[in-house]
Amino acid sequence: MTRRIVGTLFMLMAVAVVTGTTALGQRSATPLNGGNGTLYIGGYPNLIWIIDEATEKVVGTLQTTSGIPRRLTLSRDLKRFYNIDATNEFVEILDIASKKTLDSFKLTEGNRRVRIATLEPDPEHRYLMMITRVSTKLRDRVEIGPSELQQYDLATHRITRTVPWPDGEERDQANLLFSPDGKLLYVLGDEIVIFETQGFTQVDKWNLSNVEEGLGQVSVSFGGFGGLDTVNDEPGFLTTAMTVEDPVQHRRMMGVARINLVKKEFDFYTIGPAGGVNFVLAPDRKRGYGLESAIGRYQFWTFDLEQRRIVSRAEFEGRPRMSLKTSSNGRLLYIYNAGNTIDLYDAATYKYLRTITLDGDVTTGFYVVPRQTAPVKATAGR
Amino acid sequence: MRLRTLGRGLVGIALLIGALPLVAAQSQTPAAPAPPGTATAAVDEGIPVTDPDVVKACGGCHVPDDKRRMTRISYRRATPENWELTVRRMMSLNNVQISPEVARRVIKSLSDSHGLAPEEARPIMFDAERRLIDFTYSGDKETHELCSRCHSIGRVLSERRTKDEWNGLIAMHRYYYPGIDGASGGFRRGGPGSQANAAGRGRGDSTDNQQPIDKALTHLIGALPLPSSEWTSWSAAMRTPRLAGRWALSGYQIGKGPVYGTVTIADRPDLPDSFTTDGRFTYTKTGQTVTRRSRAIVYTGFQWRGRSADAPDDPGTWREVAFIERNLQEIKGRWFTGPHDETGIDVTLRRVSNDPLVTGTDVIALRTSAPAQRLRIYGVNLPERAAPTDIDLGQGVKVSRVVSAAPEMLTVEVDVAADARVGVRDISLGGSTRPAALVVYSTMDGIKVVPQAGMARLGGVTMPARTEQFEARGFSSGPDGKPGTPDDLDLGPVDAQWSLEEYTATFKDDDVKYVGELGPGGLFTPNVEGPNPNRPGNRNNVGDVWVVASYPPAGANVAAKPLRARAHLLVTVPIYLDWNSREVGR
Repeated sequence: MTRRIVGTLFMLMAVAVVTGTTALGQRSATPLNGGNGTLYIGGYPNLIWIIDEATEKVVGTLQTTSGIPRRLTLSRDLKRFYNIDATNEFVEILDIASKKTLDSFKLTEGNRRVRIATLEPDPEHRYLMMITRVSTKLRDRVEIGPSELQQYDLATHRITRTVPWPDGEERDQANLLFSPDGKLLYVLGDEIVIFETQGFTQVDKWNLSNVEEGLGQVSVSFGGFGGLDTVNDEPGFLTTAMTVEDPVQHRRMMGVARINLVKKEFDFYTIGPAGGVNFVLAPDRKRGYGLESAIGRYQFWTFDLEQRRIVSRAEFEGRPRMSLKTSSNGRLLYIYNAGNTIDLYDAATYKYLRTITLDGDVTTGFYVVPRQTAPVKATAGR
Repeated sequence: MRLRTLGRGLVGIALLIGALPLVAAQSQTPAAPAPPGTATAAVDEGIPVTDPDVVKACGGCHVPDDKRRMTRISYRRATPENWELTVRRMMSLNNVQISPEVARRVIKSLSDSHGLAPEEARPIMFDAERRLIDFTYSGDKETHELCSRCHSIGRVLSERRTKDEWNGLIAMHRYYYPGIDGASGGFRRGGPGSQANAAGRGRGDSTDNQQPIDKALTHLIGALPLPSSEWTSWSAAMRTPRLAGRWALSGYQIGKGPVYGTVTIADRPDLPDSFTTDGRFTYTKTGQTVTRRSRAIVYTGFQWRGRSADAPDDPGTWREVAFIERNLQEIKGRWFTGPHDETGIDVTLRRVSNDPLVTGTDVIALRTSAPAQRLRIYGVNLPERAAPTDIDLGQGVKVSRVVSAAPEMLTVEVDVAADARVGVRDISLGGSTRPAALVVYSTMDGIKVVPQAGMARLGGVTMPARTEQFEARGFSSGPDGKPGTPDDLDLGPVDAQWSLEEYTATFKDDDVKYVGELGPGGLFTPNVEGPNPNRPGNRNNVGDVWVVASYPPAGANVAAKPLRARAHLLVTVPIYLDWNSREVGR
């Protein structure tokens, strides 16, 4: 019993150290809010809500002109959203400051339907890299073309390049990410392929099934429902969760992977048994939070990324189909997805606080953008 | 899960069947059965289309070759429902301009010339009959799971295609439905180096290197090919079904019990393979008598599709889907109605001759050591002067008195001896025997709730609700005294007390407060659809709960605990988006 009490106290102290507060609630005198950032989330019908994080009120919308937003990509300078609509055919570029649509296009023409699985704008907004697939409707049949990695010039509105797939094997789904200087393009999927962006030749490939001899198959998560969100990451880095199954015992472990986008380095460590946990990085980059969501088992996790350990786990009353984000000050956890609400939890205690209710169902990922103290350089990392 | 996906998949079938009876109301050209021997052609050679109506309607795009094989069409066989789905898609998405009358003729013709054989159609009748069952396709689990994400696997099993045609079907799916390659549809995943791929390689399992859709295609091409011995046989033997005459009806509606009556089928001289019916039946539990007339058409020589009405001004609120046995002596199927086809009667029609025909009884269980148990025997041409000794119920069961006798019903009193053997009994009367008409039992050992897996849909504001009817049935453990063994005896429905309990899928689950109400007769009525501001998270009134039946058996000690049983009920969202509708693909 004594040992258990000591262990509990130790755990509470650990939480206090990591979160900068104490379990006794020194901050209870001040209202607990998420910071002074801005929240963006797309929804039905045809809009992106703008929510002031401090007041937790909807303060505006970005209206999309091309349909229901489905896949939002925030540009590197945090000034634009690139949206793929629910049909995967329309791309719309929205300017956040003016709330105006800057550009939109679709590649579908006549009986030739082009779907865009994913896109990534280059840091200078000159072109997009996209994974596309053409389906052509003929008189009595449909022909499905291969998946293609393509460069789309935003000035001329033309496909300017089709990049051959490594080994000639097409990829269906992958996240795309540029290095901060725009000189490298990462294709992040079940393997990681790196291209230079002058001629788009392959310069490296990390086969995750063979990261280290004896380690086993590594699987890296790149964003889940919302896609990549590297707002909180150090410029030039991508931190995410990974799982690995060792080849001998066949046990699955979870860990954290960190990619140095400039140096082309892949660092990782395991942290405990795999539990189907979605990972998000906290703004201070010292912590990460996890969301385990299975029927009857909803848990928050807190990771200490400096000590490389799990600080705490706790069950909470979740809801079906959840996704997780941290607030801009790291003190709140946002639960969203599937529905028209965003639930707010205390990141230190996992206590439910309140709910932001929207006028329609959420259809996209969720962006938490800290208040900018200085203009974000176009070449800066996210 | 399977049940949920099946329910989702059944959406479109509702539309499809709903339109089919209209076929019967229109004039049409005679069916154009496939020329003898065409189905014996080599793999991928195709079945010629000989009906000029089909060639005219479809030939603009599906150009016939010199052997009268039309592109796509000749390389596929399907049920009437699936042919209708295709014609609807052609009209709505490909701008085919044909009249409804021509469309119906095309569906009829193709169902006859490019249809399924009885042996091929029988296992999937549940799909056309709109039964909500937990069906698992044993042929290939992965194919089942992939296809059932969006629609019933029954729709897939309603097809026979060449390799190119299966590929063409998948290409059509990928063209119309965004997301089908990805997580929503699951057709494809990742790319080279995926976890599954690597794992597969590690095991030396080459099939795991395939994309899910490619694995499914491999299975479908092998399991459901265009040519088959069954179709070869049936396409040669298929004939106009001669069904005119009088038929005895027996059926069962869950929650309302057995029905018995007669149906007279008449040919429609103006339309081939088409019929009218005039029927009358009675619910034995309540005595309610129903008169119903219908129009029907028979596809492929054995597939009855009709629509019936209770009154002259009724446009036809009940639909009829049935399977005609090859000997033309029995027709079995389901009559159903409701916004989700959830209300139905399992119907069997047996051809009536001049001889007596016993169709069933009002109760199906007789207890041992019980004298003078009242039993009604239903049928046609029953002897009006039957003596107790004319009625044979087997060892230990004696008819002590004939209370009343009429050609369609005898009422008798039965004494069941204490030592009567427990088990299934036949009824023999006037030379007619109804096998397994009832059972003899000594004690009711338990009850069961059917269906074991029910589903309701929220509705009532803008979307129609789907109710679910439950029924409690008694059972005896049978001669071996062990429950759950093959000799268990179904004792028929019992009047149970009903309640809902939380199915605690999550901690602090609260579904039971919101999903709806269970009536005293076991009918569940769901709550309304849409977000509920009074529920945490503004959630819909969806959820899953236990449906619990409680029943004190007759003669049991008052202090004894009642028998209890339960079933699972899923209360889900309305069908907001019809995945079969043309709007989806536009």
